[in-house]
Amino acid sequence: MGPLANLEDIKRFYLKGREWLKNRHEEGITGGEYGQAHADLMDRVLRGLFKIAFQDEQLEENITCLARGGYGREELSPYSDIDLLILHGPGKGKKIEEWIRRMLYPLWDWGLTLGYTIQTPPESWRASGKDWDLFFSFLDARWVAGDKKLFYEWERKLWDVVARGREQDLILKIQQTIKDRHKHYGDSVFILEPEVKEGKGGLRDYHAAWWAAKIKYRLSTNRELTEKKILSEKEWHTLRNALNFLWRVRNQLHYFYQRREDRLSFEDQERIASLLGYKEPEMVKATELFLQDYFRHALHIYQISAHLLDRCLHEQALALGEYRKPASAEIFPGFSIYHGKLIATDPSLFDRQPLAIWKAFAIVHKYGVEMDSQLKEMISGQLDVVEEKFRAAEESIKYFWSFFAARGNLSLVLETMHETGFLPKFLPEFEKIHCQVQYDRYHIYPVDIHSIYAVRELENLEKEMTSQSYPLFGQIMGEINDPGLLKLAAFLHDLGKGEGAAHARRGEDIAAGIGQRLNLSPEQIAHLRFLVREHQTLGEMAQRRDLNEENLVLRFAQKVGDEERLRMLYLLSFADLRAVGPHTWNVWKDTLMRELFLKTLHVLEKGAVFRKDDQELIEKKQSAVMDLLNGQLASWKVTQYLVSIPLKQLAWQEPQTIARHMLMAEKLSEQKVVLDGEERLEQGWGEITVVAQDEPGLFAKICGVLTANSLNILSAQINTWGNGVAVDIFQVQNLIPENLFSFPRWSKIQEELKEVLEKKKTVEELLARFSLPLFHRFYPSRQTSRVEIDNETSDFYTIIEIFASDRPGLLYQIARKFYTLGLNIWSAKVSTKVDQVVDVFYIQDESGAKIIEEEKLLKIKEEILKELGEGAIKFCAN
Amino acid sequence: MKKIEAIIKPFKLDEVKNALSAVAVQGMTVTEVRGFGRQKGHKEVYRGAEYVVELVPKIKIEVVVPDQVVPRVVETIAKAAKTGKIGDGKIFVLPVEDAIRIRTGERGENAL
Repeated sequence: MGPLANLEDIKRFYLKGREWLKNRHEEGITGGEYGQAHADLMDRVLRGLFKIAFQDEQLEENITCLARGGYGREELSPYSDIDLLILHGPGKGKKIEEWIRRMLYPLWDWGLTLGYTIQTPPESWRASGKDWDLFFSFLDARWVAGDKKLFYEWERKLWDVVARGREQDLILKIQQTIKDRHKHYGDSVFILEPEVKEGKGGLRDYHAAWWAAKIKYRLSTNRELTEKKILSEKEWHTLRNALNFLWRVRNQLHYFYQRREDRLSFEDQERIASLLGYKEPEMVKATELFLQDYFRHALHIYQISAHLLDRCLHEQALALGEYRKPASAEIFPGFSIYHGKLIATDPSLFDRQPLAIWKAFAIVHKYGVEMDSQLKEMISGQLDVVEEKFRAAEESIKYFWSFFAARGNLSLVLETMHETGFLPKFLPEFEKIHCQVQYDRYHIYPVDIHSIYAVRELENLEKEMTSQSYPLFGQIMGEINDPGLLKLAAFLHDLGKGEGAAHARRGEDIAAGIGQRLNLSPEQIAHLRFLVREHQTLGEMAQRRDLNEENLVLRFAQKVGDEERLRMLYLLSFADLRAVGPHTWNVWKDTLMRELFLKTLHVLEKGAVFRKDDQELIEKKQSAVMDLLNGQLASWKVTQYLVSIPLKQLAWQEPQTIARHMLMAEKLSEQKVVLDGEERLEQGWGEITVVAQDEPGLFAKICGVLTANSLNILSAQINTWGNGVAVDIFQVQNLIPENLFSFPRWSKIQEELKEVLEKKKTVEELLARFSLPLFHRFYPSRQTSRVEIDNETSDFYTIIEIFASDRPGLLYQIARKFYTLGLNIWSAKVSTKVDQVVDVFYIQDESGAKIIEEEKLLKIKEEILKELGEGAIKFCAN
Repeated sequence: MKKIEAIIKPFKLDEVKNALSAVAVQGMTVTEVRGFGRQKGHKEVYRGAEYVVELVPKIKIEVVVPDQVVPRVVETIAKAAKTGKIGDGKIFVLPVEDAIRIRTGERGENAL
């Protein structure tokens, strides 16, 4: 590099330097190397400019130019601000400002962001005593040009004037600003768009801890952190690696945006990963690997900085390499509390008894006390002993499971296990998902952190910390028989992540393996399998399926099997979503998921769901139907029908009946309606089956036609298949001597029903010729009619019970009324006691849901009573 | 240009989305919303504790399209979102004065 005698030379030198830096960055130099090289370039440039500006003035004495902040620390990224402090002795006055401007003008012209302050040493001390941020930036000050003596004097006095005697205050102040800053930036290392500088686990965490250490131990270079044994060599190495990584990311961000930008925004993570050399066939995978690295390093920065700050706060005197002496007596053999944190009284405790690690976790679990950083390091240093024998030891199994089974501070234990690296050693299944990120907008936390958060959600419910906001979940949590198992399921639910789709299925086996190692009972393992396998089902169904479809809820209930499992699944879904990110759980999802939960619960409570035996029964029936129809109907058609028939029907009806209905339905391609009848002489009634395409008012029309043909309907079952076919079965009493199924009566009934459905005739026309046989007199009852509405029993139907005196055509009247009110009848049961009829109808409105509005229910009641009060249909006497 | 806003049942989102991409609608905004129309809310009970659902969860889809395709888009949404039951939702068509693609500064239909 030639002499920098004039401005042109300096500019050329600077631009060349920038280019050289960029090339080095692209070649992959570490962030630390880059920062130093960049600072070095700036130093040379400033020295050159300083010389030019002051050579004529003979002013070099008593003026000094210092680098502050990141420039002072030699951590300059491509577009970092250049912060300067210009100190001058007394008597220079206003003139100096002009000289300095003259010196710095070219830099602004070249597009640098440059800030400077011109002060006398006393002015700067005073200012930094009032503004701590300024003081902290002075801590990093470094001489660049001018009078070196002035700098040394200023630095020494800065300590004496500003910091001496207030060290503890200053460190507490640093601690507070760290807390505030973290809170402002999302309070988690793992966020969707990490802030490389200011976020938790960002570079600022290290700066703050470094300032604290500098204040506490009077350090001048960061190498002293290890020389004075404040950090172990291993910690320093880890920290240095992490910083180099983050600095490099920051450099890349600056180059990418061509300006100062410290946020790793979601949109550009993929491109940043690629520029940093992450190459995979799938770019998403590469991005995930990049973020995994990023978070691992950020976590290290956060942890080591926190340890460092911790030491600065609590170390009474500088005790090099000396083990901390507890201030209080042991609370348990081998353990004590030091400054509110748990420490081991004997540094070699775990060397002698590796299993005592469990004791430490047990204390954390029971008392919620955090481990001191030194104890955490002791555990981290002992990870080699966590091998096969340790994992299988009875004590290990007992302790680990007890953390889940007993109430306590489980998530704190798990967090500590995670932080110390103990977790993936004890459960190697966690190794793969350590800091593993899912690159999408939805998942904010890496998988392992998310799993711990899910446990925390359940724990908060259990401790009634969040029950105020979520009373239903709090209540249900209290009803769980085996909360330990639920918490374990929450902890293990995502272990199948990281290998593409179907993670729940993979996770099921992994979780079951862990369950076996923990000696869980076969029943518990079955629950665990179920919960992990289905952990997304409830949420997905609630959002993507029509919850007014009874079949859907029935099938879901079938899958779940019992109420305890449903409760656990509901709580797991809640905890899972809450642990995804701060806004994933909302009222919208809450409403939908609660609806599905309650509907399923009601189905299960009523025993309306078939147990395993029933399931087998249904399967047997299905194959029986197949066999019966073999040769009559193609098997694919039979399968189609079987799928569309509600499970309830499959369970209750005989295979012969089902097969017969299918054959009837098959004829609907040629006929509007298909009838079948069976005389049941011994019972004194006949049974008529009507198969037709369902349409509004179908049931009323059939009732009308039957009534008009001198049939009294005793009861009726309405079955609607998923494919829109209605199979209505009527038990009827014949009111005239002529045999119901004889010719021509039976064909007349069929013909008339067809005409009504084809709208060639109306029911009213048919009824007009109806005359009541003399020997079947119906007398008006003295009892008044009554309508009762039951909206509690079913989630899908409004049940309407009608008490009235019996008379022919009553069912038709009621059915017609329902039709005109826009209601669908799903099932009807008519029973007669002497002259009193009790008709029970399962009703839905036109939206296919039960009727909820009070006014509407009241109107239905009134209308039916009015209809009943008007007496029988007007029959023509002749 | 018109903005088409559709309020639909949540479980119809995928169907409507697929139907819209089939008629070459380029982009859309989807929001989880709650509200009520003729399908009023209801009450749920768990062990005696009542949970009133006054606002029913729905999905709002917004798309902005050139005038000439408005009828086709509206029809597509209506067809895909229909179950025939109450609560199927509504579609609104609103005039749009201008559109600007922020990255390039393109305006009008070019920005869609």
